Amino acid sequence: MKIDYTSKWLLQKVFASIFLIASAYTIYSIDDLVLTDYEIVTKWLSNYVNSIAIFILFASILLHSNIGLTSIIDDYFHNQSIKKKVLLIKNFFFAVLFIITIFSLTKLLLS
Amino acid sequence: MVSLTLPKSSRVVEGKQFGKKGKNTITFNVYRWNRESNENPRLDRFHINKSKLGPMVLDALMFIKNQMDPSLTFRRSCREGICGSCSMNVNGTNTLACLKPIEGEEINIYPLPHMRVLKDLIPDMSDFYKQYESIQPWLKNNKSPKKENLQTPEDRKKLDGLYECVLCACCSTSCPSYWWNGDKFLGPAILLQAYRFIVDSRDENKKERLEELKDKFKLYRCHTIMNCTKTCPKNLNPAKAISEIKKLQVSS
Repeated sequence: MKIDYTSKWLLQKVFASIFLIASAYTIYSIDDLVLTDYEIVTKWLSNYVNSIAIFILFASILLHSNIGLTSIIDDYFHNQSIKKKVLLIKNFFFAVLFIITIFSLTKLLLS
Repeated sequence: MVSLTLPKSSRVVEGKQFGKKGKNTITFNVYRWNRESNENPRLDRFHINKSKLGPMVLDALMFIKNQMDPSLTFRRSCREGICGSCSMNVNGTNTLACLKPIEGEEINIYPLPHMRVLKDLIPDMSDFYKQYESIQPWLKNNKSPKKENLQTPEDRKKLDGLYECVLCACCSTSCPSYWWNGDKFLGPAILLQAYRFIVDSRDENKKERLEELKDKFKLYRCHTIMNCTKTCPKNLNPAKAISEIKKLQVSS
């Protein structure tokens, strides 16, 4: 069956743009922050706007690299059985990273 | 998985020497392989006096075939970059031997990379031509015009930079994505041809053509590496044509 890849190709570009905007905001807003001080960093992250910005940053990184890695696997794995297993491991890895991101940010926000 | 090393029987070994190296000679290192022999591919060295040579690499190959080793096999026809027959890898770059000037003291000549070799510098182009056939490279419309099907100058201009392609396959065989997935990815040459028919105002099959290309492998294995554009001996831009197809896929 033919798979419509256009939306995935477009989404990868969209996530890359979001990533650039979110990283620009993060770099700008942590400019005056003392990153070595744990208290200051957690206080900064407990702010809703900063927390959402960091979430968008991480989400865009994860979603962009998920599509990118799938594309690399499609390129280099020709054995369908191995490919399916590698894709499964990759999806699991990204799901775990995503859960850790949400869990950590929520914990900081509620602390 | 892709294979990253050559099998033992495909490793290129040192070949024969023809002529003597001198002050005014140029050395041509030419890939040789005959499928009828069980030998490994070899690199023959031909030392030729500069004064005996014409200006282009194809002239040197013809000199070698006529004067030094008649068994050397390569494709050639027009000698002026129109037929696309003499495509090969010269000094690491895919090009047409008839358009490549002889420069330097040593020139390495190999067949187009990642293609099955039939003999010496002749690659098997059958898969490439099958892919070309798959895009239905002819005008399709339901009208049966009684007179010539004219275009406006603006519509005709859209074909510039596309119709000049001679299907030499230099671009496709320089593309790493085509090396790994040559059986599924159409490659830059065929996609440029596909775009040539998509933008042709006389063709009424644009939607179907785009639909046919809307595939994970046929189109989207292009990762904008740009080797195709860099290597094209006709100075065309297949990468731009591919990006135009992608844009049309999004907007259609």
